[in-house]
Amino acid sequence: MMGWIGRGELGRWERRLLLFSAALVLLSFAFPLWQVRLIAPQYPEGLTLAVYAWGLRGKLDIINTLNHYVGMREIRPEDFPELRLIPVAFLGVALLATVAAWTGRRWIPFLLIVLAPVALLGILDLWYRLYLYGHTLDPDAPIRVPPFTPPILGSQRLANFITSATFHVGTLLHVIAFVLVVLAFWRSSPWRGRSRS
Amino acid sequence: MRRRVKSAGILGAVTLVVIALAIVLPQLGGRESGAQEPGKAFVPPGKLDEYYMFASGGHSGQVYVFGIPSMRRIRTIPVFTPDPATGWGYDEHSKRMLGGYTWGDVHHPALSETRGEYDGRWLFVNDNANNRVARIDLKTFTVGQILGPVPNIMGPHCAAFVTPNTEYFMMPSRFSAPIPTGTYAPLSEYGKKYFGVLAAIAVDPKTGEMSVGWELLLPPWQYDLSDAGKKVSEGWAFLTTYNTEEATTVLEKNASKNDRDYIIVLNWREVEKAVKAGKFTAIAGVKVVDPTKVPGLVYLIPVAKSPHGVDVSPDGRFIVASGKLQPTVTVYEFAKIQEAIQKKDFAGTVRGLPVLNYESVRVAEVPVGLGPLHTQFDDKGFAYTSLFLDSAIAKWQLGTWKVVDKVQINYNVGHLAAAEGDSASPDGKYLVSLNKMAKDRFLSVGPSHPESLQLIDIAGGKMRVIADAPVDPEPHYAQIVKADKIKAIEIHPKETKRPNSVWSPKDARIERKGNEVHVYMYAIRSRYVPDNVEVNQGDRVFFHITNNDLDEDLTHGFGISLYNVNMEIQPGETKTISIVAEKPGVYPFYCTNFCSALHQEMQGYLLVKPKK
Ligand SMILES: [Cu+2]
Repeated sequence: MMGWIGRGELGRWERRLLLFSAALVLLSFAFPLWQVRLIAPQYPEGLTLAVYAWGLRGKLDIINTLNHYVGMREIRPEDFPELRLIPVAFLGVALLATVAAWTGRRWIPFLLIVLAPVALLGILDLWYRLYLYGHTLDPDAPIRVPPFTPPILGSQRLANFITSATFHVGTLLHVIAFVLVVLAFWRSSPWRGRSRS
Repeated sequence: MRRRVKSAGILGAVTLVVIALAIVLPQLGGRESGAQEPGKAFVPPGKLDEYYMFASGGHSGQVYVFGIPSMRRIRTIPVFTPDPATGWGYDEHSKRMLGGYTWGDVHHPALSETRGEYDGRWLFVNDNANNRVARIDLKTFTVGQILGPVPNIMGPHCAAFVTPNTEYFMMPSRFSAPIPTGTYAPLSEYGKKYFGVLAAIAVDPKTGEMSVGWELLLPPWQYDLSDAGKKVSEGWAFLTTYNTEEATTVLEKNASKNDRDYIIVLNWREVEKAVKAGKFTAIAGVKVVDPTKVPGLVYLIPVAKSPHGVDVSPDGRFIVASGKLQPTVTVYEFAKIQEAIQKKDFAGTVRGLPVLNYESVRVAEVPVGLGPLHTQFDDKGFAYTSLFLDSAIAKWQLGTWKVVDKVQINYNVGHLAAAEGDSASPDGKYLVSLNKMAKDRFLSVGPSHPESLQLIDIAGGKMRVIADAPVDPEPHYAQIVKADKIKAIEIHPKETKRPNSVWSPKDARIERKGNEVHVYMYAIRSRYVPDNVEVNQGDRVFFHITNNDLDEDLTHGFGISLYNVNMEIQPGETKTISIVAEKPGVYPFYCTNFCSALHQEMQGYLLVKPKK
């Protein structure tokens, strides 16, 4: 089936699109993929924690200190082995897109499109992590709160804190890169070419 | 008849109105003098001030930090006096720095300068009582070094006015005394065995580390104030001196006999050369130069009797001396001083030092008013002189030497401080009058009142008092610096290699070394690890505490009941406090600096097992 769908060559424009999407994927390392921000009356500037392709950044120590009052486990970067996979996966995608642009092989964008739903697994993993943090609270904590799942997208209020989570520029770059790959794949479709001629 | 009654009625009514007005009006407007113009000093809640003002705390031994123009007092920096709230003088490090002294007398704060401009790195303050000087680091607003007691000098009132690149500031004796310090000589030998000594404190341009550069042997007079030359006069320093009568009793009378005292004109670059050439004697380990033996270092200029302040104009051209007992300021021109020195235009010598011809160097005597003490400058060529006796500030123009404005202040102004006023480019805008008396300006607090600070708007043609602020005794002088020059840090950096620091509860521990117990304690809201410490009676117990809350303003405290110790530990800081566990029993220690919702739970017990 792949032989059939991936048949054909990529045109000059499609190759450019793929090269561009590879660049976007590389650029995404400079921006957070996802970010959570805690705002309280005494933290008007907000406590930000950002997930980058290469790790966590932000006021993790302070957030952990505050979380201990409700008995939440300490968030430690070393507890996320999957985070180590992300840069490898992203570099792989960028490499594949570049190879496709170089060789013009149409099955490569097809492969990328097929693999894209794996990203959803990453989001699911994040949600599960958040669920675990909010549901394995120390029963002896000074402040007892009902188990909760911190938001993956949107806002939630807990005591004096409003937690707002959002996907960030890094993720947006990936979405654009994906759209470009789909576009390249679609434009180069031999079937599309036949119908036009 | 009826008409007469009527006019008497009108007259009576008018009289009543006049009396009523006489009673009500003064209350409406306050005293007419010093009435405030509302609004200009108002900084809304949540908004920050444009300037910092660092005011000396006088005999409180501390430094006060204000915001200008709001006049809000932001912080007190403990310097020479123990302060339990911060633990200054309680923890091991600061206790060692204070060296057993429990007070100091802070007079003249000086911000470090680069090319004549405040650079926002350090603030130097003198201790007029115990011959010391401190450096406050403006990253943390805490004292980084206390130098002294400096040998041979006594009562360095003059300090600390820094040279344009903070090479030095001069610390001369206000009280001449036998040297080295600690030497006895009867007052009958005052003229022979007593010396005024000037210590030039050298500052390391990288670290701010202060050391005694060299000293200068001066006549047994009293040295009052100083300023460093800048721009054209860079490399020189100017000091006022009084009691050239060399009186040792009833000074208010006996030191005011001569019509003239002197300004000391000092070529500090030449002194440096003399020191390098080995022209000094070591006294108490300090290189002391005698200017009567090395010509070209020191000259005297006659000045109206008992002068107080001496101030160099921003361009360095003019030196302004305030007469104190004469209603004038005397202005000298640096170029004329140089000319007189070159031509040896001397009117004799006094105590071996050449006296420049007054007529040759003086350019003006400005009739400013009664009791002139100090002068500051703005950006438009005007000078402002405080008048202690007139309780006023006179504004006058450099060049025309005309007094153009006066404003009444309340009461008895000493120093005044203009925005960036001691730099080579003052800002104008604001002037703060540091008043010695408050009297009726604030709600009464008994027979002794606070001192008073008044903010004066000098942006327009006329000076206007726009705010009053009470303050604890006693700001002598202040400096005002643009807020964005100060780069204060929010937390101490997490230095995992720092001695005695603990950055994980797992590393918190108690170690015994003979009779010494070292508690390496981890503090984070809202607990100490460990929180219960058992020792034996007689042990010396060291608590090394690291505040692991690396969060803005999250300071913890540590106080032990009945053991008379307390301190703060700033975010990311490690501090050590020690006690000798002489009293057996159980004593709580707890967080004294409100930190968090469960601050009240932040505690532990020191259990002291009695000797058997
Ligand atoms: Cu605390």
